[in-house]
Amino acid sequence: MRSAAGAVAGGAILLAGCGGSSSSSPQIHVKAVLGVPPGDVPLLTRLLDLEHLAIAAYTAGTPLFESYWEQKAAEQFLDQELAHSGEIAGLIRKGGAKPGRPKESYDLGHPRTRGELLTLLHRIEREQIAAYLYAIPRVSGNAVRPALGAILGNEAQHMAIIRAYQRQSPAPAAFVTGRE
Amino acid sequence: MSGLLSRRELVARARAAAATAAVSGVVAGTGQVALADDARAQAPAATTERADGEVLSLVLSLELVVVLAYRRALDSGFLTPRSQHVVAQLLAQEHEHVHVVRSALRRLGTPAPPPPKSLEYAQSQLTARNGWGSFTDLHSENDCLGLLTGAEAVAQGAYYQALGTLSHAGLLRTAAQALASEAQHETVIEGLLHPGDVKRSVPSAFVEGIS
Repeated sequence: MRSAAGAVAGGAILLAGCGGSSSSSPQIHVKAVLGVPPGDVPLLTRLLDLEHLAIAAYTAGTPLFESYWEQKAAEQFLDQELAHSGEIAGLIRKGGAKPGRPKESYDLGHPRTRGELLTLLHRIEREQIAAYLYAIPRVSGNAVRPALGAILGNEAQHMAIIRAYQRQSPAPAAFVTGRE
Repeated sequence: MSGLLSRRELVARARAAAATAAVSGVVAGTGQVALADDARAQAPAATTERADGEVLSLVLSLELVVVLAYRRALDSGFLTPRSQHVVAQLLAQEHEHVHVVRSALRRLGTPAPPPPKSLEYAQSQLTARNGWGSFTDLHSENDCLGLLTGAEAVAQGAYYQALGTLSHAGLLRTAAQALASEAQHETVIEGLLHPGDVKRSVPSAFVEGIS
């Protein structure tokens, strides 16, 4: 499954227009963070790359779900990933840098079944959680850490739902590690 | 949703976490990774320790309110067997949070706050932070699960705030892991209240809780 750049770029345009479907718009969050130390930009850039990967995966994978409820969930998660990418891009700008754009395409393998698609999404969510947990103690901006924590919490919720669809425990540990 | 971990597995994980903390000297939860190679993981100065202790003391006081909310729900007699099982598993995880935060306070030399002295006191703590639900006015499963969503929102808010004020790298990571756990609890409980409705169980792109 290869996500075309056009689909992802279209998603990015949608984000700029409506800020995703969440109750809190990315713009409000970024405004609340007054300053982002330039030294935090490399870590934020890595997180943005992973958000772009997740957007590509949900964009390409959502139509493969046959269940109405699973397709609705995937659409919602895509909206939320778009909101995250807007948030992280805003933080990078506040750090005085230009956020990177999504790649032309992403090699997402060849998931053909619901199970293979869930495995792919599970792996990507896990990778994101691990990256946020790595970044949070290392960014120096006091206001940046809660912003990243708020996104981490949402990624953990995505993983809970995906695990439940895989008939695994949705909340297997008291401390989320990204290895679940 | 499939079942959560068995009690035996949870106890085993808690023991493993305690062992990790003892070896690394860094406050650790389940699966905690020590940041020994990170300069920021060095022992913080006394003033920083004191400030971190104050932050964690507030977090623990609110975690204890959350634990009481879970106990009230479990003791109410209104939960279905399925909900009873799930809520008991989540309570076990809340106990792990309490254990780890209390251990951190001990290392920082900060006295741990006592559990809520009464239901009225717990209610005042919940309400003061804009939490919803009642500790005393429980008449249905929905009342009980509603109280838990209110308590979880307060717990999320406590960890979210802590991320902006803590200094020690290991404590920051632990707080982030706990925030993610509380977010998953919200999803699981909302899943009991509104099965299959992901708009209710994952409502926002940003988990900040309330405070």
